[in-house]
Amino acid sequence: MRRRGPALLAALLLLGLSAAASLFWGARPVDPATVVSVLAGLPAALLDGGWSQLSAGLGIDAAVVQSRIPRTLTAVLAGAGLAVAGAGMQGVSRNPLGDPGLLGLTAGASCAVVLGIGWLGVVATWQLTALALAGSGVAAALVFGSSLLGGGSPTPAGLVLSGAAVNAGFTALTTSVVLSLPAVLDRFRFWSIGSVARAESTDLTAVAPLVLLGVLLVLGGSSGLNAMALGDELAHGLGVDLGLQRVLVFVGVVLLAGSATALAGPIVFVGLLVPHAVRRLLGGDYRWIVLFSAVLGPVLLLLADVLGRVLTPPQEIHVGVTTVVLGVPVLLVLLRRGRSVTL
Amino acid sequence: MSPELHAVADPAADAPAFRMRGLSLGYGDRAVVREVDLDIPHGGTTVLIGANGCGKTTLLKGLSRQLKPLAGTLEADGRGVREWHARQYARSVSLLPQSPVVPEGLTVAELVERGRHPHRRWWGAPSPDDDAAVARAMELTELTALAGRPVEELSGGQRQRVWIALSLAQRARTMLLDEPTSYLDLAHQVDLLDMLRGLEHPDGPGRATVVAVLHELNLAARVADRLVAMAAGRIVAVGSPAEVLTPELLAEVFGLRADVARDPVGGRPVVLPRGRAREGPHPAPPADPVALDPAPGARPAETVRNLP
Repeated sequence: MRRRGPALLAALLLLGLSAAASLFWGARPVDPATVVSVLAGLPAALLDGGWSQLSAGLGIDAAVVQSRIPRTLTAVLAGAGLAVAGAGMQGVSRNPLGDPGLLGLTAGASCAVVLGIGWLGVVATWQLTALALAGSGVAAALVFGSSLLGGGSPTPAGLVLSGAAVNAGFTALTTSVVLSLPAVLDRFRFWSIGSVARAESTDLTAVAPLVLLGVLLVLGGSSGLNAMALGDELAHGLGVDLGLQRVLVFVGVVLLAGSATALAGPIVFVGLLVPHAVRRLLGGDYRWIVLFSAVLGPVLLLLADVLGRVLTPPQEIHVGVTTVVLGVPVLLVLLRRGRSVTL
Repeated sequence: MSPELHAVADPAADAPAFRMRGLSLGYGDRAVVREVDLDIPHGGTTVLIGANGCGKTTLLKGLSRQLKPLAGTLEADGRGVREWHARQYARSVSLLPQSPVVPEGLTVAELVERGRHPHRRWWGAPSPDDDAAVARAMELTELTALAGRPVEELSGGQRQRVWIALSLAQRARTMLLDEPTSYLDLAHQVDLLDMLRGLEHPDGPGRATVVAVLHELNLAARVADRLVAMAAGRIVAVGSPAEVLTPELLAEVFGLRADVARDPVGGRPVVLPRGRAREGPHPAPPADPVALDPAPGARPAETVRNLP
């Protein structure tokens, strides 16, 4: 039998360790005692006067540690969001290459951000966050709408195809804006590489409920995904309401991909790698795939972020780059270990 | 309430598994199955036969509620199929489609267990009968020894048995099977069909109800209590194998010129195909069995040519 209980404990332990590494370790060496004292003072300070009160009257080291807190939380939320969105997409499209990017959600978010920077002159982080969410939402509506045009409930192939079309459209629009407005290119470059360092605590509190809701929706639909993995006909014969289950999971995926992209930019690969790795190690039960993705997605992003901080101090490498550097070998090893890649 | 009263109060007690009246089924506006009137009784094996594309699979899709009737009515156990709740229907009627998808990363036992889906409560929480149903299904399909093997590693025939086990684990009173013998060798085909014949009603006395599409007519004759012959979306004949499998009907339904013999054991009909019944160019019929009956001088030229 598969030992899922102990594996879940190990994964949670790994999450704790990665979060600790993200708090204790960085481009600037900080005495662990300072980290502990800042963390210990956190609840009292938050109760006292909120986040802004916290930074008052602290040394540089303490301020550095304090800046690592939202960064760690961003990595946790974005990692969970991307990995669970990937698991949901793989399940609902019955495509092991499923990824939020496949639905054009990331492209939609990028496009909205570019238009915001270029034409609306958006500066604030929260505005970019809101734009990214709106862009994902528009992309999702387009994908749903066009796959519903044929009548009946959307099929996996229909959704992936319309996702590809929407993706291409938004990418073309983004490219043309970026090419025609060099000033936009400069800012968009930084946004598009993906980073967990830019989200502010206000963004986090706004986006966290969306991520939670998205994870719950996909988790709720994961039992149906198990039946849908056997093909539509058999799933129908098992009494699964295919349309309802698909909508449930898709809404969850849109919320997750939109929120994660809004917080950290278009980080690729987490949504592909994490569910795949879980499936290889623990089998094809989507209830467990989703659950483990929610824990291991943050682990990957946290470790990638820590790696980016300590590799070339005092410079930092963006997490979008280190995720791929870290993730590609892991995926290749897993694929080698497996008997065959069935597509 | 006493049992007698209960029995009287239940009008569906002896309703047939399916009752079709003027039923038309199809895709979009195109009807594939047209104006079918048919009762399929409980407790027996009904086999649908007919040429490719005559609507057998479409009829099964209708019975499993995947297609809405274009016209006419369809009742299951005396209730219109649209009135059933999806899960409740899945506990009563199971479907094994022609080509289900093999998901990644599952063992045989895990895949068979997915047949328990309609019996489970929210979020697939295990139901108390799961283990027994899964074990029984794997035993009937001789998969117990393969329980821990990844499904991806199995042969086509073994996979087919896994799908049948999944359908058995669903423990529905009525099983719809679309070409369940595909990929199976002859011994396993016979095994499977005999097993289905002997299958019991999961929660009551009597036999389970099986509705299957089969292409191998002799196996169909061997296993079926009733044959339903279809051609061009309509039902051409219904009855016992001996009533349905006649040379005239085979010519009409399959365009097949055939003789029908009696099996010396059991007396069921055996179809002996001779060739196409249609007009026009077709390959010459197989050579006469001269070798078995070497009448002297029958074919002197060939005999001479074959001599050293």
